[in-house]
Amino acid sequence: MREQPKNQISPDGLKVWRLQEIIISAVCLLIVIAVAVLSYYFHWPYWISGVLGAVWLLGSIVTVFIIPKVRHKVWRYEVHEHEIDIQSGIFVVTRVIVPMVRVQHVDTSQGPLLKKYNLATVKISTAATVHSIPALEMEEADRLRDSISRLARVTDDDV
Amino acid sequence: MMSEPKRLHPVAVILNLCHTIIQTIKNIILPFFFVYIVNSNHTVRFYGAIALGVLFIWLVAASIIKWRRFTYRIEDDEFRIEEGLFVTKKRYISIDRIQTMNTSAGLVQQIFKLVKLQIETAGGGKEAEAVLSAISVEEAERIKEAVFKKKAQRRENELDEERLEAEEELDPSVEVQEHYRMNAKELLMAASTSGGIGVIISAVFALISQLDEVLPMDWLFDKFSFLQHASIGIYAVLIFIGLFIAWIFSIAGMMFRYANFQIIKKEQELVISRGIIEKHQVTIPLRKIQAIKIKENIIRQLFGFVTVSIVSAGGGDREKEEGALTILFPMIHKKKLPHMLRTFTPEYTLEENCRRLPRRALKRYLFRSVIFSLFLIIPLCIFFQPWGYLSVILLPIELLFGYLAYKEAAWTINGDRLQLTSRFIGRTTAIVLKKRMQVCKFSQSYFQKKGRLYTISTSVKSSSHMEELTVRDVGEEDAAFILKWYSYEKADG
Repeated sequence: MREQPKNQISPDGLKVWRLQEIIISAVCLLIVIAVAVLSYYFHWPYWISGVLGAVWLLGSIVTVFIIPKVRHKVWRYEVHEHEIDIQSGIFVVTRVIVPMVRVQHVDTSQGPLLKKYNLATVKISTAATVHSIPALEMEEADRLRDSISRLARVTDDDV
Repeated sequence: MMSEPKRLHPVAVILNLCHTIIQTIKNIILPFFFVYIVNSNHTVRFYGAIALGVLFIWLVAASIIKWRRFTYRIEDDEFRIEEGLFVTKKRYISIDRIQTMNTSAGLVQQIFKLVKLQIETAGGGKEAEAVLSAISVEEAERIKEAVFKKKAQRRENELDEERLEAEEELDPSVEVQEHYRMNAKELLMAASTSGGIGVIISAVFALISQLDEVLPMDWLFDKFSFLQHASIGIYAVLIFIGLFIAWIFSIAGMMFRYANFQIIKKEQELVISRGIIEKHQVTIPLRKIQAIKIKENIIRQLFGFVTVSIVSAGGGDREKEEGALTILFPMIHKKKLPHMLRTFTPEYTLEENCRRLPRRALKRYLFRSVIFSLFLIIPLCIFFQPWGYLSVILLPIELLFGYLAYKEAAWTINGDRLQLTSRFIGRTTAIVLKKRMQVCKFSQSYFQKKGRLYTISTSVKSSSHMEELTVRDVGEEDAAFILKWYSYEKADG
C-alpha cells in the first residue's frame, strides 16, 4: 500500500471533537441523574442507578478521551493534482481515493463550535457519494475548496 | 420537424376523466354520503342528483379543455410542454438533460394502440418530469428519435474528438443491430426459481389476518376443530400445500411479468420490453450504463442460470423489484452469457480468470459466518434444553456458506475494467469501468491489519440510491495493485 496521506487535521479539531462529546456526555449525565432521583422517590432498586452511572462513566471516558484521540491520529488527507486521498476511521481504517474528474462540487460548512475555533469542514461530493475533511483551519478550508473546484474540471458528461 | 405544437391523442380525454373522477370521488365521498344515505328527504336527494350531474358535466368539460390546452413540441433544443386549465403552466426541458424515455401501455392505451411516454431527467423524485399519457406508437418513436438525434448533434458540436463516434451513431444503416428474445425454457426457469414466493406468502398471511376481522372466524374454527387434535403430520401437509399454491401463484406472476421479454440493440442504446397485460419498454443509452451485475441464487446456480441487471444513471424502469436496477437478462444460461454480454454491452465483458483471496482470509470468512448466530445459539442451548441444542445444526450450514463465500470471492482487472465477485447467500459478480467508479475505498479493521487484508469497495452512480460494490479480505499486495490501477496520479510517475 502506498504511504499515508501527508496532512493531519488541526489540533484544534481534536478540541472541538472533545467538546462535542463532552456536551453529549453532559446530556447523558442529566438523564442518569433524573433516573437516580426517580428511583429515590419510587423506591426502585438501587442497582439500576448504579449500573447506569457506571455505564455513563465508562462511556464518557471512551468517547471523550479515547475515540477523539484515535480519530485524530488516523484522520489524514492529501490533495494531489488528480485525486484526493482521505484516510479516516477508528477501529476500521478506511482509505478513500476520489479522482478530481469525479468531483461534482465542494462545500465548506461551519457549525457554532467550529466557528469558535475558526475551523470549517470541507465536503466533497461525487455523483454517488459525499466525503468530508473535518475541522480544517478556515483559510486552509477555503483554499482547499477553491483548489479542488478548480482542479475538478468537468470532463465527462455522463457522470 | 417537431417544432409545431402538438396535442395528445383524444383518448387522453378519457384518461384525464378517469383520473379526475377518481380524485373527485376521494374528495366528495363524505358530503355525498351525507346527502344520499343519511338524508331521506326527497327534495334534497333531487338537488343532490342535479349537483352530481353538473359536477360530472364539469369534469367532462374540464378534461376536454385540459386536453385542448396540453401541447408539446421540440424547439430550440428543448422539449416544451404547455398546459393548464386556468393557469398556464410551461415546462421546458433541455434535451441535454433528458436521460431516458420510457413507454408503457395500460389497458386503455392498448385498445387504441397508443402508448404513454415518460421523459425523465437525472433529477430526483418519483414522478417522471414529463408524461405524455396517450400518443400513437409512431409518434413516440418520432419523439425519441428526434431527441436522440438532437442529443447526438449537440455532442458532435461540443466535442470534436467524439465527432467520429457520433457520426457512427447516426449511421442509419445500422438501425437494429442485435436482437434477443427470452425463450420459454428460460422464462419457466426464471419464474419457478424466483424469490417472489416470499412476497406472496406474506401477502396471504396479511390477507388472512385481515379476514379475521371481517368474517366470523369462530364458525370456521368450529368447522375445523378436528385440526386441534390432528397430528403434526397433517399440519406439515397443509403447510406444504399452502406453500405449493403460493409457489404456483408466484410462477404465474413472474410469467406475466417477463412474458415477451426482448432486447433490441439499436445504434447506441438498448431497448428492453416485456409484459403481456401491461407492456413496459425501457430505453437505456449504452453510455448511461454504470455497472453490470450478475446474480445467481443457490437454486439457479445449480442449474447454471444467472440473472443480469444494469445499474444506470437516471431513469430506468421505475417499478422493478431490486431498487435501481434494470433487468437486462432475467434468466440466461452461464454458457451463453459471455457471448451475450459481448453482443449487447461490448464494454462490459466477463472475465473467466480471476484472482482469488489469500489463504489467510479463510479464517475471517469462517469467523464472520458464525459470530452472529453464536449469540443466538449459546443462550438457546443454555435456557431451552433440550430443544435448544437443535440450533447447533445452524453452525455447519453457516460454516459451509462462509467457506463458499471465501472460495468464490474474486477480483480481476482487465484494461480499465474491474470485476468483483462476492457471495453472501447468492453470488454477485459486478463489472464496472474505471471511469464509472466514483470513488475507490480501501478499509482495514484491526484484525484485518493483523492478517494484512483489505476490504475494497467502489461506488457507482445509480438513479435512486448509492450502489456500492465490495469484496472483503483482499490481500495487501492485491489491494496495493488495485489502488495503483485506480489512482489518477500515476501519469506523473
